[in-house]
Amino acid sequence: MNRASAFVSRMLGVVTRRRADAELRVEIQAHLDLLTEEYVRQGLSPEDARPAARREFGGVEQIRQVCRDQRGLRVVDTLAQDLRQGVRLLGRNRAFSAVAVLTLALGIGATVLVFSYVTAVLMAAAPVVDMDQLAGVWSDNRSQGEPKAVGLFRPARPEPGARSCDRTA
Amino acid sequence: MKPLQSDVPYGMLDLIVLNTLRSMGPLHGYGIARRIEQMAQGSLALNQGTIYPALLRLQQRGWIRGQWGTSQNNRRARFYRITAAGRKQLEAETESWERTVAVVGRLLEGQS
Repeated sequence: MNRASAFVSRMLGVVTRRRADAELRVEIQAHLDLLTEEYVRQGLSPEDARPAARREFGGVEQIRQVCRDQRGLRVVDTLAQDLRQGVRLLGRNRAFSAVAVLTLALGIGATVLVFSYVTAVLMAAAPVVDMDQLAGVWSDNRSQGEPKAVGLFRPARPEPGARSCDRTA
Repeated sequence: MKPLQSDVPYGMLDLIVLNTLRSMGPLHGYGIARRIEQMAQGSLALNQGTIYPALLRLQQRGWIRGQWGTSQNNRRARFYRITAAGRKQLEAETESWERTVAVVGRLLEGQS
């Protein structure tokens, strides 16, 4: 559960990062101020107290970076960076980008066209009720190779004596 | 002579911070760091800043909660308090730590 809650707060961290980062900056500044005051109380001059406080605190930027990493999901962060980088590169080379986009658009368009044709014509069920009442009619002319479908028909009224005839050669 | 200082082992700091918050009540980051230094009496080499990643970690796990408030000298500060889950975690961790220390102690005794 802890792991899950840590993950959730990291996810939220991706969203609320900017504010949290600013808050941490304020927090660290307050910490440094207090530490400086303490050194002044101990007899250091204010000019010496501030660097001493910084030394005792450690690298401010490093700590902020550690917190930043901990707050966000590294993956999401780097993904966002990659995306921004990609957009920048596209903007830099306009002609290449246009050709690439056009190629993609044509490719996707053609694929969609072919697939919707195939789906509609070959895959989708015919829009009729009682499929098993339909009769298929083929023409079978040996001299022309494979039998050819003429179509599917529904007998207007089933003939009393109707029977299937396999082949009338 | 300079007293021997040891680095804080990873994960130890979380435990120390939890314990400090349990015994002292709500504190801001500076207060926690000061308190830890007092208790360690110079035997711990700790950059005060390192408690901030620890505080964040503990918050993310729900073991402490942070809230902005005003310190004695009217300064805006973020105060941290331990949660019920944090107390439970502290108990469990302390117990396991004591067990580890006992085992290591026994093993080292056998060698001298």
